[in-house]
Amino acid sequence: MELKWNTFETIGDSEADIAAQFVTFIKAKKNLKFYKNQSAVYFISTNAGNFSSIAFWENALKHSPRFANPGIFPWTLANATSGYIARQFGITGPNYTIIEPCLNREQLISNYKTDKLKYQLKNAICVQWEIKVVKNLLSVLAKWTILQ
Amino acid sequence: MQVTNKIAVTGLGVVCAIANTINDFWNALQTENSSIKNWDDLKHADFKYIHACRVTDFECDPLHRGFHFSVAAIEQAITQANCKSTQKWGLFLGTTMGESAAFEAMAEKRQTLNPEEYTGFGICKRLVKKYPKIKIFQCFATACAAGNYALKAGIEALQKDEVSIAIVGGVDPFSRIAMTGFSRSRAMSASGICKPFDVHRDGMVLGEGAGFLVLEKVQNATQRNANILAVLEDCALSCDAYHPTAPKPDSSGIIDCFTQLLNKNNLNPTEIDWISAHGTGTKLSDQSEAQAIAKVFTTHKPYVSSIKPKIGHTLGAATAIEAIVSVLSIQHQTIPHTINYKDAEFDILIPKKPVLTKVNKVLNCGYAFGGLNSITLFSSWN
Repeated sequence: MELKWNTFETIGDSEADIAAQFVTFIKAKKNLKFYKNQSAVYFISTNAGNFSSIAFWENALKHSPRFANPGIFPWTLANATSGYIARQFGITGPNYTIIEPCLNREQLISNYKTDKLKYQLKNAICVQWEIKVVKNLLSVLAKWTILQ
Repeated sequence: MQVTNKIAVTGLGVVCAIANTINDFWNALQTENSSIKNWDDLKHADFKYIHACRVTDFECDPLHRGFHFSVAAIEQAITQANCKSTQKWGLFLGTTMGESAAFEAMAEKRQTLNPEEYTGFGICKRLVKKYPKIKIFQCFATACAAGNYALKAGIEALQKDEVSIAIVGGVDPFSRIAMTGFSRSRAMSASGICKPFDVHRDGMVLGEGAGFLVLEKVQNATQRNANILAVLEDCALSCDAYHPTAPKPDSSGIIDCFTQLLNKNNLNPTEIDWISAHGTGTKLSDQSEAQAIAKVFTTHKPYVSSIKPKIGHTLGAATAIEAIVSVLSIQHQTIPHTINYKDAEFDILIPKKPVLTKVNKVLNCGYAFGGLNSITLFSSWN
């Protein structure tokens, strides 16, 4: 199976912000269709959720745990972005968040082939998501592809 | 499925607030005891709620507590499975936050740390160093459903002959970040008493721990005369794609998982003996889960119970530890009860005392923020 990777780069002030920008970018692509429980999400990252975890605890230390900003908390979870992608595209099939520094292409294809058979998948979105801090902002470099 | 492709469970290991060995754990599940306590450090740090289930008498570097929990549980599991001479291990780990204390330390600017060393991947790397037989590994950060994801990956790696032994589990050490987050999400029990499915339930209580299982093909286990504790048949996944934290009101994602497992394994709902529930004790999650069970199991009501009032919600470890309880219930032909359950709200069968009965098939349920739904199916072996 040949994978044709696309890239997306942006900066934002939070993981929620960059996830929203990514989805807006993807939505603008024509001919991109997902099929509810016959589509899946494979989200691969080394550090999704890390920056929100630190930001949430900084916020709790500043305001007391009693008054920490509850809006940050869901983004402390590494799977927040893959859940967001699923909601935005109505993808109700399997939704994976895998923590690894670089994509294991063979493993991904093997997993997709297994799930394709098991869930009668028509396609899946695969996103490799790496975040960096640049001048107090978050910068993301995303590689994404559609598995058929 | 051919017998040669069936997956056996041959080892179990647990660390949680109520016990650090499998025997003590099972015995504790038969009692009315809970490990929920009030904690002075949380009080002094101005937490709104100060009750939690935490592992005591476990000395280790607090920044690597998840790794040390994992080692303690894996040692039990591989000793029971007696698999040390078997080559080609795979490690499949589920976690929510990895080493949460490290991220707290980074925010407090106490130490300069590399965040990536403290994620679930960081825990895996340390485990691979400790257990060189691990040839492949994968880490699933799928929140409170992570253990079931790891179980699914273990099944598939064995069936594809990528590994001959799969060390599969979940871990989450106590997290002040999660304690704060669930409190601010209004998911925490104000009373400090976790009462899953009870009409007066008022929320969850946070726990910590690790649960690991040794999986291998039945054929492999039989050839080396290993004791097969149960069979891990299958795992179903779905996503609500509805809300970041709330379950879908019609429970359709959970129902989809139940239906997948029943249909793909040619099972009638009457064949399910016990549902090891997610049962957090929160209003919405319990309602969604109970509603799904009532819709799927219409003519036959399997027993439904939750162990979270005893050990708290161990997040990424929860479905792994509950998978262990599923296996133990089959081994002991006993269904654990749900402590603190008094007044019914839902049309499901919740035991108030342990039930000695035939336990042949068990469903192990875990749901998570992000709309994740996961259920594994365990069966008795012969």
